[in-house]
Amino acid sequence: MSRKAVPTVCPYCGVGCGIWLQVENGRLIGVTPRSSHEISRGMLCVKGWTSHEFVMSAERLTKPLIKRNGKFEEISWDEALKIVAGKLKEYKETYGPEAIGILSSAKCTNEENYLVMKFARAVLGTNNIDHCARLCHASTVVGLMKTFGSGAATNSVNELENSDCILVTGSNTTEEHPIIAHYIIKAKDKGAKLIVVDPRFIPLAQIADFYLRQKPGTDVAWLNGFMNVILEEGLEDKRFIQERTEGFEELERTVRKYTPEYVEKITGIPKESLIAAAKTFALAERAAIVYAMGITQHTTGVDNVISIANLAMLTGNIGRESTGVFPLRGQSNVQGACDMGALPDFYSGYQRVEDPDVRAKFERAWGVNLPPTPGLTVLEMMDKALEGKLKAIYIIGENPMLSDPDISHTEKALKNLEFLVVQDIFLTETAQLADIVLPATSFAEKDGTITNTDRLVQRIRKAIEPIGESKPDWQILCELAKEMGAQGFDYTSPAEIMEEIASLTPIYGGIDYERLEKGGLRWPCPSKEHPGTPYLHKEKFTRGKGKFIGVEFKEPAELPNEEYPFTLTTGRIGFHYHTGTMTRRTTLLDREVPTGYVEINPADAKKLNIRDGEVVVVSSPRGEIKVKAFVTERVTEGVIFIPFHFSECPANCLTNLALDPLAKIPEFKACAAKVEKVSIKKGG
Amino acid sequence: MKAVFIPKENFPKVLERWLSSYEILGPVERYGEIVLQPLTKESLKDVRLGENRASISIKPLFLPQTECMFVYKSEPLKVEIDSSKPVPTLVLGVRACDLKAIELLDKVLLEEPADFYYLEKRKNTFLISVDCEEPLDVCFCALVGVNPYPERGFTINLSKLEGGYLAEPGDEKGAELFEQVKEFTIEATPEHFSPREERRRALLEKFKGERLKELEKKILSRDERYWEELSKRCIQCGGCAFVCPTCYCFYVIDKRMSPEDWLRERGWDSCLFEAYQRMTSGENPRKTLASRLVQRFNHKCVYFKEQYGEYMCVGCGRCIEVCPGRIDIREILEE
Repeated sequence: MSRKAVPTVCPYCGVGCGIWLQVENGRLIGVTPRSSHEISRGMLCVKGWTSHEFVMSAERLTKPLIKRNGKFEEISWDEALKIVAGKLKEYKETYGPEAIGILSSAKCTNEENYLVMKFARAVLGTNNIDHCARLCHASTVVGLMKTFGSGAATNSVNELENSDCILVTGSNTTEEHPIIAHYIIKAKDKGAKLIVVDPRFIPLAQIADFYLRQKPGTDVAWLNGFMNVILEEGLEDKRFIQERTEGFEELERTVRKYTPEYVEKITGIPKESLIAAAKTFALAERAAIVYAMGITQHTTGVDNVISIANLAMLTGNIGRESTGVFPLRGQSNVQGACDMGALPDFYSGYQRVEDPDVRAKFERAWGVNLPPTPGLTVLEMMDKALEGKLKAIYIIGENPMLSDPDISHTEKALKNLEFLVVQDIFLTETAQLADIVLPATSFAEKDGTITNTDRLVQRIRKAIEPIGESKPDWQILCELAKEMGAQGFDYTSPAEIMEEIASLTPIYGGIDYERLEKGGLRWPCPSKEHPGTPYLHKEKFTRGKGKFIGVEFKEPAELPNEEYPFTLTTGRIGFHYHTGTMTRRTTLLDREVPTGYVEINPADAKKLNIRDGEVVVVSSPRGEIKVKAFVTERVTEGVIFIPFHFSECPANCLTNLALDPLAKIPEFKACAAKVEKVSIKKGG
Repeated sequence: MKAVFIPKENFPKVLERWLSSYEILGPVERYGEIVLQPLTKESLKDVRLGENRASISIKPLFLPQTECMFVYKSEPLKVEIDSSKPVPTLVLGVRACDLKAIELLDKVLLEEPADFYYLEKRKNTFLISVDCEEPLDVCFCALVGVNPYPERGFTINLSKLEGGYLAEPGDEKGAELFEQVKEFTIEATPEHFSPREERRRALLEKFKGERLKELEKKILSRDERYWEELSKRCIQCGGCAFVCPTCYCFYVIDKRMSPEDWLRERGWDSCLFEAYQRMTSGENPRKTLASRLVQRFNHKCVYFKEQYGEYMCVGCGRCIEVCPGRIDIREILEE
């Protein structure tokens, strides 16, 4: 019998926990935690503990597929690559490169994301490349760039345990980033104050010193309220403001009117709680802010993030250990996919495509001319597809048919394409619409690096051979590029790709596989001698001075009304992950929560005569779904919550396509909805 | 059966000899931690017996996290069980806590009708244990009555002494293994045993704290509020049960592998999961997490004792290490 244990990184959220994959006779039989791992230190959540199972699923794609007469047939790799290369070439020549778009994957490695962006720009000649960060942290990238000059988490996760006060908002940390919740719990045990601001009574609220429940979509108001109180009490960090920042006067003017009374009216947060929590935050020696999609997925996503940055700067909680701003990343490599430039406006390392010097550098390195203007974002691609201007999309490891807002819109768009290629490990809802499906390998079957939520670049390692004829995404990309006649895709290993990344990407300049053998490295890591950067903005901000930007509260795009009296907010649960492609193929996880539900307050349920467990109809102006009612005080009256993982009751049939004007992130967290009994619906 | 002394310089030769007829799993350091790995001639020198216990017990060797039980075709029904015997394997460096845990697992899984899969692996795996040298912060075996040095249940036990190991055989297999390496060992004498007793006494001294007694009383006296508070820390990762060397619960599932072929698989489960005790009707007698925590500790300290006469905890402290909610079983078992 052959046994081995392979050290790698969990494929789920952005925490980047260390796991050993247990291999027996070439098959994965289990997962154990890496006790010496710098972040997870021997702990895992239930998804991590069971992350080997989906890899061995019988539903894995094992051969390329082509759709003929509405049915998929298996074809050879040679054929598949010829067809894809031929089509892409044809569209490029006939309609121009702008008629093609690529969606990259936050599940793929840095090396793969780099190759996807190189393929889009150097081979196809388009900047139409984006990925799911658009739907989760686009507002973070924009908001923190504007204020700090860098769109990533400012500090390392481990530092949280020594914070004196932690403000958690729009993040159900216990369920979505459990090992970060561990550090919050540890900090609390060491005496830190915990403030939770969330429309739902999340698990962390149980142990919080302050739990403030705001109405969905009113974050700018309460954040301005916090700052109003802090200024009123004279608790701002005057020295930090003077030495390290600019724009303070503008902020002061803006937040003046956000008195606790005014904020209470907008948000529903009692003014006494707001004052007490704000003071506690300001008085802490080291305070940190942890947030996730409850902040970013709004039409005011960028405003929300800017407000968080304002609060951190106002209290001098940037550039020191155990302080800072933590946007928690949802996917194992969503940070890395951004870092690698799987974005319409950036090359790797956040180097702008419009910058002629940057472009010249990449043109020299790749030996081609590159397109000078930013391309389309995820949702803009869907719009252009619907208009018929985008002819072909190549989707790698993403499932917009469940993850995009207003799915019927996405479906129409994808069906309107002339050519859709999907590369994935399962035949997802999106892959079912494809003309060609390419079977990729999972994390367990390839080497590479991924970058976690606190900028830690880590190695993932191949534990087993590819399942069936599946191939690592980087190999598929290289073969496709060569099939299209491109130069510069002759890599023999991911390590070789990393060498190229390091040579063109200053923040990754010092990263190589040999160094990573000794442990992860946090970027910026500009040279081989550089030890990496545990926390950012130490002496000065990446942009020089931190910039305060006063922002006014704006209502969500769609408010409850007579016909749709509820505010629907969507999100995730601890046992499932994103569109469920992996967790719903994991016995324990799928058994634990086998389908979706709508959380509704007991008072609302009573009014509507709805019992716990009863199937109800939830609808919005965009669609309706049937889903089980979960009567619970986790949500307050007038608010309902639906997890979005489940294709049989897809919350995103209901969500609003309204976008943040800058980040182009949709408003997943607030739209109008109604709940009805099934019987009434039938009768009516 | 007599004990022998293996001089330090001969130890690799002993292992090498055994390696010619057995697979050996031994503790080696990889990426900063001690893990059990198959040894090769080249890696024998990397064996680390002096370190602390590994963070994962030997339970997965007998009860893997996921295991194929059999494959079958449904129409007509045809069942195939993999009948190939596991390769005879020596496991090196087993600690007293893990030996005790296997003793407890045997009570459950080898009780008639014995668990076939477990039994097959047990029969072909031989445990070479070792005295602990230093307890970890989380170790509390001595406080639940498990000595930190093996006293039974091993094939061979190794006690480190000046200049080598005192090796005691625990069963026929141990004597047989000694026979194979006769030329590398010398007969053990009382001069070997007395320093070992000295070391063992000193080791016991290192465990601070009160002996944890009458655990069932403590658990039963905890009120609802206590469990309610505890549940606020539990994130339901299942880690405590997965990593516990005495937890044995598993689920069973049939998976369709092709239109005709099915696979019956079993995998680790935990009583802390809501669906673990959910009825088909959807009813759940232990709907709250607090009630499931009660169940977990009652099983360890009350029910198992009633059934098998012992507590179901060996004090290895692994559940403390893996818990993101920082739940410490010692605090639950203390006054």
